[in-house]
Amino acid sequence: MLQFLLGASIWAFRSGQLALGRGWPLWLLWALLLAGIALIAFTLWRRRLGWWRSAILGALQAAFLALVLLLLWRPVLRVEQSRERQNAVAVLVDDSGSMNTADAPKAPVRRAQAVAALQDKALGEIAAHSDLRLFRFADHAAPVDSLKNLPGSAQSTSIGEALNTVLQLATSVPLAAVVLVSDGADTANSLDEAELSRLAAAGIPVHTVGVGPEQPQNDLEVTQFQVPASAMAGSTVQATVSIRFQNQKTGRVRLYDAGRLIAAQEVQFTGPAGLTTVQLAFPAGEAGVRDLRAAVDPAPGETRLGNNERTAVMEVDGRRRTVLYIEGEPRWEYKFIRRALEGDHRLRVASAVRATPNRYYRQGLTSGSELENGFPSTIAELFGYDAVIIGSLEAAALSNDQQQWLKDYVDRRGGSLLMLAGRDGLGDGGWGRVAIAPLLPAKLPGGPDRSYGMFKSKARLTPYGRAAVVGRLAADDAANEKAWDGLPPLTDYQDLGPLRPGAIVLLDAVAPDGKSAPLLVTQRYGRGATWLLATASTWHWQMQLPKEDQRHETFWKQLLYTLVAPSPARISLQPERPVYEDGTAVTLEAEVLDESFKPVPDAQLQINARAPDGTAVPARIEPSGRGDGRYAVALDARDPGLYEVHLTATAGGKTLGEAATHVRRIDGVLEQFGSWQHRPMLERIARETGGRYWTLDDLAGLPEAIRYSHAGMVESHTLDLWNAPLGFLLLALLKGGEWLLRRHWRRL
Amino acid sequence: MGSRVRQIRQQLGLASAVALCTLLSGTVSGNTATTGFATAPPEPEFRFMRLRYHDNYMGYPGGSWLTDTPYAEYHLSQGIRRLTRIDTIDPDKLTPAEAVFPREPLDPDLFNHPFLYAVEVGRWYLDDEEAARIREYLDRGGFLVVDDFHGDEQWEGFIDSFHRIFPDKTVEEIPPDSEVFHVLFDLTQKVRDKVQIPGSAAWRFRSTCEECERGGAVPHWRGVYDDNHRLMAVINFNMDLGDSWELADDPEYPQPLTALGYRFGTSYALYAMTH
Repeated sequence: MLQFLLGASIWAFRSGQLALGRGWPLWLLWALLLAGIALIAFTLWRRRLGWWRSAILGALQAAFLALVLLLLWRPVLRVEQSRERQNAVAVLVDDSGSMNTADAPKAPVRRAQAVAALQDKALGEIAAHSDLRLFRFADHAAPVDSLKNLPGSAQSTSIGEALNTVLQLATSVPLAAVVLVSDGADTANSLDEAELSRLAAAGIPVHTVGVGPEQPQNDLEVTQFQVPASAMAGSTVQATVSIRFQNQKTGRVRLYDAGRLIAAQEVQFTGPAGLTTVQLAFPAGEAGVRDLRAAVDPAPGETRLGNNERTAVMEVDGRRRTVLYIEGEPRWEYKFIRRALEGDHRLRVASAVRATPNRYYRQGLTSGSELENGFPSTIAELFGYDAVIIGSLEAAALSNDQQQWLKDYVDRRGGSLLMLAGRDGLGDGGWGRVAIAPLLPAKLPGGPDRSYGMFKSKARLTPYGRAAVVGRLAADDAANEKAWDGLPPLTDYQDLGPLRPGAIVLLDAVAPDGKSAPLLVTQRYGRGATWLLATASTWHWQMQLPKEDQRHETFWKQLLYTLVAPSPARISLQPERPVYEDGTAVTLEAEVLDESFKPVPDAQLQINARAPDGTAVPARIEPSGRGDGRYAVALDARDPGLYEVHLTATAGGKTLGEAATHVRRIDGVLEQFGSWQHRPMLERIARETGGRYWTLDDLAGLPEAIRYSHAGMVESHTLDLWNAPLGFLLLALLKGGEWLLRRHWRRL
Repeated sequence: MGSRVRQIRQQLGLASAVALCTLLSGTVSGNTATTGFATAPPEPEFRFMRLRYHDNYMGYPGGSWLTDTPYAEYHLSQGIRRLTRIDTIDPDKLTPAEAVFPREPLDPDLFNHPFLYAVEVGRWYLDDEEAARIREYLDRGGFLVVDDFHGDEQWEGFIDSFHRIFPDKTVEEIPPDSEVFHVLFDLTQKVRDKVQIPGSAAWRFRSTCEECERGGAVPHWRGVYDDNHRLMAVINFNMDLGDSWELADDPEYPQPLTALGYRFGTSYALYAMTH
């Protein structure tokens, strides 16, 4: 009806340009219109109809006059139309695994719905006016003779790749438009900003047809499952699981290690739909590789189960970690920290306490010369430790060089530094004025007033502390809160000063009147991290509680494990990601450093990669070229399964060290996730390229829209609009309306 | 009127200057205490806590636990402060009586001070509840030094209560090369040579007084270990460290033995604070 009234297709109006075809000057039209309006106004004024009646009648008459003048000037629509049968139109149908989905019980799968709609509403019409080229695509595009019987087994969707392939057609045939039929789930991540710009620059409109529901229907999906790449044997690890939900209230997440259940937690979903994140703590276990899987129990009636779980791989390192602990004075905190960590064969605490002004008492040593002068005498000796604790020791006890080494220890070596409160500790020890100061999470006070003193307070977890392994004294959240609440009060406190922007507070000290202050604070700096503990009286958690109570020991073990776990090794090998889903190109990064954690200039690397069946897999090694000791390692992992990659680094004929890692390859996974229609992406492709987004229901307008494409072989047409029925209808309505009003007002 | 106005202006100017200086000093000093916690001055880290106990039949009127007070701990604290970096009471700021820090076994404050000294333990008596309390104290990490008891009869008096503390542990001779004798000073040879630190009465009688030492003239350093082979209690039998500290300023008492007594005392304190 609209097309009849307008005298031309709505697509002509959308793509064309309005113009006046008579060629008479425009100023004449305006002059006549203004003269006419003036005459109308004079006439109505003389008739003395009243101002509002005059206004209405004047408007109707002016509009009538304007329309008549417009029609006299011959309005036209200049359009470009595809030349009949001289252009090709490419139709790409998504043939990936996600298009195999039936979104309702007994409903046809998405691909079948799309093909049926295309055939019923569009393809015939398109083929009548253009050279129709059909393609199927998933990870790449391939021409097909017919859309019937598409295989539908592909494991990933690469929309960008497919469009690029089809747009190559334009170099050999005039291409008027591309029709992309898909759910828009670009699982190969091929559509970045650069790619979209290239598509837009090609100048060929891409019409996108969205298939599938825009929101997941009664579906739970594990969108992310993150664990640390490596952990210490015997430590507790935090896993993060993100779940997308739709109309569910509760769920249950389970964690498996090689099929064995190791953790589970109930999840509450707030709101009708969205994303929620859960953290689960689990034991790392003994040294080796952990093959982990996070799964969410299906919701009642949920049919799509392939996206209810994800896998991850974690290396558990059995290497014994060494902690350096320097104390400026004998004190109870020192004694009880050592006692808490004794017996843990995964940790060695090498400590030196300044027993007299010029003598250190040393414990936990591997040789008689270790820590002979207290603080390490060489940078290599310091860098050999995985974490450093400094107690009530003034900064002046270290030389300038040693203070700079400490800074490099955190920044370059990637170690963790924990500083404890004390009479000569933190601000009162002058640590706010030395090289390490900018790395600390707080600006330590340095004035004449002491910052350390006696004060009773209770330790309380912050939200960050609750989510961290350090804050875990019990497995269950409620039991954990109770465990912290039941700890005896601390008896001292040291002011840390204002916190730095990057600081994270894990524990607060809460005074009897409810006021609180930061107690355990950390921040990352460079490759490492610094920590401040504003008390030296956690030993009361041991002496004030029954001997069977392990909370003091647990706290210090969790804290020390957190300090040492991220400590990088001199020789390391890390995959870009531990799990490769439906992709065979595996990338790893190797790093080779000397004892001072500086790049080894002439290192030789040998990579030994094994496929799941034990066969050797060739690897390519490429230095970064920046002299930073980093190397890119690439290998082709064709088969699914667990790959083992081993690195040996040598220099000058000497072995510098070794590293090993694992990578898991999985197939048939990508298409299970994010499989609802990604309408915003489809709309964006259409918008950037000059096309339009369509649903399966309104496909009937697609052929007409394609006819008015600017691409390919086009011809210009000028369509007359003066004879459009709408014009005459409006004239009749305006004059008829005026007549009716005059009759009504008895002023004919 | 003019002078009055000038006066007011001057006072205002002075007040403003003072306020500005105060503000600037607060800024420049960098003492930006942000917690709002009004902390009290630090208390001494180490207190020489003396066990106040009930006497057995061999006890003194007034309490055997008081033996050597107050000068034993008063002088020993001076020695600890001079010889080590252990933060303890400053005897220069206290009277000798203020240096005495007694606690009974059932006192809840016991667990706030992990070092415990008991003297003349041949005369002590601990009932079951008190013994259990001392056991809990030591199991949690406390350290006990017992001193100044001699001869078989006093040993029996000591062990009667001590076995109630640790019915399942064995009292052993501490080897001369034990860490407790190396932690600060090298005392190995003194232990090997069984150099006795006698009580004042015995010294006056040149340590041949059988009556004075109840037959206990040969020193024994004995101890009880925990499951990780850390000393929990040091038993100084047939010697009198307390007298060596108490008589540090007595010219009649030989200085070398006082010095040795200090060395043992500071070694025990340092061991307790590091193990």
